[in-house]
Amino acid sequence: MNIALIYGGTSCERDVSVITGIQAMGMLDKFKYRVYPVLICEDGSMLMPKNAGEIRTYIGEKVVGTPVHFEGSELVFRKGIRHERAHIDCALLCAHGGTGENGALQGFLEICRIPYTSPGVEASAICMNKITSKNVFLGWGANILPAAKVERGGEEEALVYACDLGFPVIVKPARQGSSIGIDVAKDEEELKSALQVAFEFDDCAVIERALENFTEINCACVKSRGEIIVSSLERPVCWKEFLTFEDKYLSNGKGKMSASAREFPAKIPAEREEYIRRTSYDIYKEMGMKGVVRFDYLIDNERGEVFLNEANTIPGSLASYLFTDKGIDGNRLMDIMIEEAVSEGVGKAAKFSSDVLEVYGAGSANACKIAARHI
Amino acid sequence: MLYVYFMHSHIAGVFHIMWDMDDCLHYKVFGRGEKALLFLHGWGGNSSSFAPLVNILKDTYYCICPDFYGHGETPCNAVYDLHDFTLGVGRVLEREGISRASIVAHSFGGRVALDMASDPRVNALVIMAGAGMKPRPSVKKFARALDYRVKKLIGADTSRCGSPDYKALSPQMKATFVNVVNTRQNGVLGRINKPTLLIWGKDDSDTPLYMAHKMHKGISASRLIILSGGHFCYLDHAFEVTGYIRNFLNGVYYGVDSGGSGRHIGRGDGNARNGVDPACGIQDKPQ
Repeated sequence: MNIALIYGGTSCERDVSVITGIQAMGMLDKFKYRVYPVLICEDGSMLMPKNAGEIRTYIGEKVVGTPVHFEGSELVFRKGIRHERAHIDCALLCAHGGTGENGALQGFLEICRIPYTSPGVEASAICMNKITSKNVFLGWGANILPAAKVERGGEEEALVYACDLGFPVIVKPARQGSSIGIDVAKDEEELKSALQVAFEFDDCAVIERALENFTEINCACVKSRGEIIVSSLERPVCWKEFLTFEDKYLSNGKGKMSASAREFPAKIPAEREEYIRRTSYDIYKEMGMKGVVRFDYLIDNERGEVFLNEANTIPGSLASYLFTDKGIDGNRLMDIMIEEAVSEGVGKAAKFSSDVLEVYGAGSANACKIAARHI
Repeated sequence: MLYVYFMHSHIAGVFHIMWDMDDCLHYKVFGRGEKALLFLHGWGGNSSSFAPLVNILKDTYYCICPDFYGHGETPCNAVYDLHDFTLGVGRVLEREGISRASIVAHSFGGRVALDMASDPRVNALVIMAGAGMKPRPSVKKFARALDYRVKKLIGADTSRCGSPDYKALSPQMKATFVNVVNTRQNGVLGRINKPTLLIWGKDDSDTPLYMAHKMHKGISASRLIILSGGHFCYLDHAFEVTGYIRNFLNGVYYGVDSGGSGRHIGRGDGNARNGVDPACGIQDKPQ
């Protein structure tokens, strides 16, 4: 089976995507799959890098490789002096952020009729935008933090809204992944500069109430043979917190603490865990997603409320570390994703024939209208 | 089980029954999960020999690492033959209540693995640089054997004869060692119908590559992966090896959906298999 592993991209998360791509390359079963690494370069061209599995390839000025392109579901590349073609059975998407995750790449692959391992165009596009996604999540009954959209030049409205919410507020670019361009503003001045930073990355920004005492929780879903698997919950411990923890408790300790900066499975009250798992399941199901999707939650430690923060349709490392307690390792996860993508295939549109062309050819100016009656 | 011990008692003496009844192989367990992995170490190793692999695999596998007789924390109380080792490992599985396990074996562990392959509890074998195949005769070996025979014949001191492995052993272990190394298992290969993954170092001098090819040819459902490095190449490529093991075992547990073109992957497929010595490769057996 031929797999095109698409990674890189033009977004700020390009480097993270390269890491995910290399990890995925290592996890794919070489007996089952022939892997064609396809790196999307900054100028939008596609490249099959030489020594794609090594990180050294990507450090430095230019990546050396063969230019490739898709012709329908065939990948065309040069080998020696000959052009070779490989029919791609499935595309494994590792391109975080930007056009890799916002549905554009998904749409391209749909036109090429190549099955792919991420949620579809619609779900990808919705989850990419922090404002749209909040509205949709709210529609499916998830609890979200109230937020407002600020467009370039709307700084005054932003201030009114921030005062309404009460400082501190958190400012994010609307369509940016990771924590890039995200800032917390404690007063008016900081709000201005935070908005400026956010507008560097996007024309649209989001303002929401900043929780001061909160816990982050991650939960991922994947569809396997038509069944949705919800992972156990993970509490990522941020590096700073981790270090202070080490300072506090291990400064006099002899051994070094194993540096796992996370708690997995996370120890949180059962009813909250149940809520998070159910919400993730519902949204994954209702939005008709496939592939691995990681949902990020925030728990307000003071009030005990749980908020769905965002959904990552192409999560870092493909969230392979979240399913290990279910006996699913990264390698199995690749199989699951590919299996599911291939079995779902590319959407089959019903064949439809009309005589519009004939009518138009016969000289009728309003052919579309006439034909529309039949349509 | 008891019956077996009685058979054994005729050879080793009644005293040993009691011993055998009680002494279980010492073992360590790591990780969690429903899928059990049984790690069989090489001669001179112990349950920690696989530590780099176990540390990676324990997230999704229940790893059981026994110490063989006379290794690690398991004492050597008798003269054993290869089958005793197999029974010992079988008892570990019994004690753990494991009904389905895959074996990961290295070197001497490979002999035990080949012997255990008929056990219904074993569902797959991963043999890394495994012993058990008849070694090819060589001038060096012949010379050493001749040296020993002559010295023995003329009554000279033979204590300096033998391999370093052999010389380091207690008398009981020496006898065990002789029993074990003289067991040829070429015959059992044809009877092994469990999926088998063979991982070998290209420059292995203890269990040379021809042994890998012999096993690959003999075992019907086998895959051979050749890595750069020697007898302990699995330690040099821990991440790569665990990746192969995971993929192989996923095929065992969830079914292999080969999609047709899997077999082309091998030598010279530069883009798909980077970072591996081009002379090394994966060989899937045409079925």
